[in-house]
Amino acid sequence: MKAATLLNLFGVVLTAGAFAASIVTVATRTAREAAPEQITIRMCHWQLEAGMRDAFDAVAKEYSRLHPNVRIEQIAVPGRVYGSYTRTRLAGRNVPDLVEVGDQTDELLTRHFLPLTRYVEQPNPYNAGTDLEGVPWRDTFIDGLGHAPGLESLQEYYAIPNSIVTVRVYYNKPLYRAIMGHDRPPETYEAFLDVCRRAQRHLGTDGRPIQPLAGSRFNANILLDALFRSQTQKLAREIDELGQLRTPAHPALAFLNERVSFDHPAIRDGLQLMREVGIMMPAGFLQLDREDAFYFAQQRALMIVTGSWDYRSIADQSPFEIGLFPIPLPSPDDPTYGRHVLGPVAEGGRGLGINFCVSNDSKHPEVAINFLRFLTSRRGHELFVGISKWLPVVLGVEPAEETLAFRPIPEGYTDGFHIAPIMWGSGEMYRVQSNHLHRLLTPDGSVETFVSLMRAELPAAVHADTLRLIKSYNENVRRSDSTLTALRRRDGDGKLSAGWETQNAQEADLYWLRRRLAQAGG
Amino acid sequence: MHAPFPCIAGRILAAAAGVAIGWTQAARASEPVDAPDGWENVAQVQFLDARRAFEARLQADPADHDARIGLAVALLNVQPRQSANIERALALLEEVRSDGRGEQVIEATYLLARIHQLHRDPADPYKAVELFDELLAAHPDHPLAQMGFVEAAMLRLYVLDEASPAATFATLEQRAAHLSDPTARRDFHLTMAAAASRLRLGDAAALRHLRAADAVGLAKRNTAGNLYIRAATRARALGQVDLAEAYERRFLAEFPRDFRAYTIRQRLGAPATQPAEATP
Repeated sequence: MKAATLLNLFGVVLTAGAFAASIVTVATRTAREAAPEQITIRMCHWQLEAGMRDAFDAVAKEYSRLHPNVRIEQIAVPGRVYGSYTRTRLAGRNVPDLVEVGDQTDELLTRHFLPLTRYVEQPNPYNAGTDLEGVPWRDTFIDGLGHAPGLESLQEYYAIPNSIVTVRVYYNKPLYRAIMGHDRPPETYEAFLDVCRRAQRHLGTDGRPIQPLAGSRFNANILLDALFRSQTQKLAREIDELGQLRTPAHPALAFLNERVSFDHPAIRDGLQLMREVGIMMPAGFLQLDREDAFYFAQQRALMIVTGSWDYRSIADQSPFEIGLFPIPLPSPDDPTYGRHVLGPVAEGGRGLGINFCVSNDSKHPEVAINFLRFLTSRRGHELFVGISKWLPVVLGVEPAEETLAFRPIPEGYTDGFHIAPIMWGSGEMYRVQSNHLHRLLTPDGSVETFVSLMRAELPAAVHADTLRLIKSYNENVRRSDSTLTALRRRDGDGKLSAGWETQNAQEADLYWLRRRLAQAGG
Repeated sequence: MHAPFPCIAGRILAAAAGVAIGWTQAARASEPVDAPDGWENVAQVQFLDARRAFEARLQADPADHDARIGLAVALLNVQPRQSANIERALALLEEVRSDGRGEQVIEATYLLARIHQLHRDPADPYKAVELFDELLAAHPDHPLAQMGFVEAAMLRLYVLDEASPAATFATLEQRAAHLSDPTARRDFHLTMAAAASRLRLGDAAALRHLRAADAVGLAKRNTAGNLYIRAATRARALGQVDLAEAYERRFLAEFPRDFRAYTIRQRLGAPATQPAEATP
């Protein structure tokens, strides 16, 4: 009894102590912010990968050295709760000054963040003394911010990017040498498959067989998806009705075309490829999450396919030399899978990542924007890239030596389409594929089994997803009716004309999609 | 016997929460109140705020037709969408049409047609086309009336099925001769070019309209990039290699880092690393 009382007292003291500490923390922060000369800029993001927080800290420290009255604080939030974190903060109008955004609606951008157009059209002052001096901030990025969030529909820039990601096969070099007798990476799909098969026959130091490919659903989403898409490259070109060399924006648009079906050899071969490589992955990988894929670091798997974002984390955890090579997709010369392939896929020009927006509620928006300028200046970005080992997006900044292999492949064709992503998808096509994927990717499954299941359920899913697209186009067009009416009253900068151009293109797409759906029996 | 911990901890929590809420409210109260113009709210997609601003303006001056139009366009997009809001917007615009004058009547008519075209459920495309035609007949030179012609063209091509697609297309080409507003002309040609491809009315028709849109001038870089490639593709299909190459060179000159540049260079047989020069 006495022990229980003491335990309770201890709990009370601990709770009181915690509250006292938090009050001191809040009071200190409040006092710091109350000082008129002291400015704190907070930035929230979900980049918990090794090196990323250090990189932001280093740039922040350098910025504070130049501006001693400014302090930059980062709030790193795990990806799986980031959405709810930002939604709550935005709703409470208690959001950090700088917010990393991913997929976001136009309404969210306009409601909560500042348009940055007038800033990106001015030179970045921190580029003074470099060859980027006098160049508009926008044009100092490798894609000229041509894919900036919201640009297409809102005609405004809302976010500043900080990196680009590419995907590579990571391999354990010593183990690879032991299996293959050399460490030259495979250059063709056939050679890659040969490496996988030889790895399967190799025993590790513990006597257990080596897994050719480590990974989870997350890694399959990258590797198997790329393999399938390689087979629909030519088909995507065939159904590109406007002739603009673009892949359908949503797979439902592809499957709405009468030429695309499970009888098409390209679709069959894509599924066969997914199966061929999928069975090289660990048993039950579809049930594993991103964080569960330790096989590679534990030297129980020869390779893992992931992006440049994981480089620091994997390199830190792996006590062996790592090699990198691009996914060896089938080439047009491949005797089995080459007939549907155009060629290598260009990795540039797909949009940049780690995009930060400036909150409407920021007390110091000019300072927050100024920090973004420094972060993406030649000097600031070199510092960021040097520590994070992520790929640069500012012209003239070179990748870190050890990540040169991630440099985007600039030359190549457009990609094909898929049925649905393997992870992080949405909609009915994604749900139906997810339900049946194990019938394709497990040793006792088959392409035929998967196709027979998909054939029964996919048409309804395509219909449902197309209706969703129509609804979304409809919303955009309806919204533009209002915004264009407002722009008619203040135009002078060409936004009205661009707004009409966007609205009319979307509206034509909307009517065409409705017509196609009706023709398809919807 | 209950342990004292939850009770005391709960009191501490409640007290701390009270202090925090008080602090937050005090801070909010000291913030300056923003009073933006209703139209600025609409431009920023803040329809609820716009609605409040326009309601206030109408209360202050019931004859303010600009506020009436503003309230109508705000109501069209206030979330969640409600048919009562759409009907009220319709009624407001009818008031402007019957009581207003000049520009306001033109704008109200155009927006009424758009409500019948897109906002009402179910939509009434026939009513929309009727209003667009009426507007064009009354104000043939007005940019908004001409844009209404473009909106009606889309309905005629994809929705109404008044005649065969080819016949509708030909009729629209004839009727479009009067279009003088550059934005309406550009969007008409872009609409027709897309329809020619989608409705399989021939590469020549698509190319003709793409070139016409290009001649008027495009507002967006992305549209320009797509148009150059589309025109080049159609020109190649028609055997007009010189024209195709001219568009391809323009594309490479203006979009050297675009993900489609490699394909275009392959078509041109141009060196892989150096964008080819555009022809004037």
